[in-house]
Amino acid sequence: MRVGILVAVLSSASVARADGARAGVEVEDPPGRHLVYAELLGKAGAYGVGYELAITPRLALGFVASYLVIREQQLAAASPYLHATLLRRGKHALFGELGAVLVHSRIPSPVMGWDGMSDTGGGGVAALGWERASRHVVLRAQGSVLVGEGGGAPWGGFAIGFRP
Amino acid sequence: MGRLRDRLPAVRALALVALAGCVSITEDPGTWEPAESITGELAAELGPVPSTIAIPRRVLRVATWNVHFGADPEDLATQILGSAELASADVVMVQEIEAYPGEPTRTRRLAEALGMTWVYAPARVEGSGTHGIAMLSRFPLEAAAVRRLPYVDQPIRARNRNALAAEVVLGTTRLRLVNLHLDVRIGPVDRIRQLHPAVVDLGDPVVVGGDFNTNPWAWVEATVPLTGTEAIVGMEQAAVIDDYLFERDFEGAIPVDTATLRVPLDVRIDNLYSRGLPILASGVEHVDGSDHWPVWFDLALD
Repeated sequence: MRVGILVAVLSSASVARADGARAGVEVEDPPGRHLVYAELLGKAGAYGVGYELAITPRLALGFVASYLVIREQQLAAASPYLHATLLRRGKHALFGELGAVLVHSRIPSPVMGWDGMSDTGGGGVAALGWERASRHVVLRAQGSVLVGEGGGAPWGGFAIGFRP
Repeated sequence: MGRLRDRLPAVRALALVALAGCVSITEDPGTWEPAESITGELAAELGPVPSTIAIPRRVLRVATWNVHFGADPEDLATQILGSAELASADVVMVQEIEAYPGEPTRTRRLAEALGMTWVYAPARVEGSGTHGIAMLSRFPLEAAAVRRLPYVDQPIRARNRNALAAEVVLGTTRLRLVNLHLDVRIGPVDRIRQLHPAVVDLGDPVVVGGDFNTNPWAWVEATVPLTGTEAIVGMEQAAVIDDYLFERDFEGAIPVDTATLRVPLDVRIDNLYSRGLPILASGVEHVDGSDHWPVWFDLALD
């Protein structure tokens, strides 16, 4: 069954390419729907590893997460979000993102007589950024505001991604 | 190619720093040293017994104030005496006060303007002078001792920190007071590690106060504050210090979200804690003279 589907997909792709060649038009493949990326700073804290699935040419659903130990403090963060391309010109685009952020922090005790602390908090993130995308590589820079149990804070980040 | 080869050791060092981290903290560097036994440029200065010793009341008012170098001690005294709450303070703990050769210490000038005795404990040499913490009191101060706090080696402004303890003599009663000033760009685990030696072996009753520098954030390599992460989880370092001291049966003067720093953030980095004596009242005074506001509390003595 799977082999059948694969043959059908491959044959339809080859037919499409043949049609383009017959018409004398150079057809560029649309960018892939899947994006995997790594970010420095950004929605998940100090760094993040994320995945996005394009659901329309302008909208994508994403998820980014990180786990970090800073001077023994353990921080785990996760953020599901919606990514929207607001303007696009060639390889450049202006985008916005809206999402939720969940952070768990654990502070182990370095001394006797204290148990340490841990807490989990939730909040939201709104971001505006710039993207430069080639067929396979996506670069992004963004500024954002995170709002949660500790109030609000400006933040920002850089990401590099790959579309297979 | 040759230039690249020349730069390789530096690149390797940078890579090692990135991989290994560049922040470290010494283990507890020692014990309480009697203030009068410290010699050299970090020698403590002890003021005389007050010429007129106040009669102990049933309530003791203690204040703490980071005076941001204390360049004008007479103005600081004017600020204190002009404040309804601070003017009646019996003991004032001071942080970030300096002393320079060839002139009376700023602690002494402040104490004399307030009619108090004093102990000044330099933490480090700063330029041609010293920088440290002090205790001022209307009542005699005895058994003054200084303890070096664990040193946090960090890329920006790594500095020696200390704690100063003294007993304030209230007639037949003695109350131990500990004044301290912790590092700025450190996370909660290192902050507890730096605080712990100053409070671990104290008897009752005791007051601990000072500038805990409890900014809200976790710090990446003591350089980048994770402001966004803190905004989501809301676990400020002030709450961590409270939790640590409350577990040791201390009671705090002011809540976590009370601002003591003159910035547009509700950051509580200064506080007072008592164990063994109940807190009757407390507050923050919005006076000029520093980038911090003083914190005070009243303790019931009987």
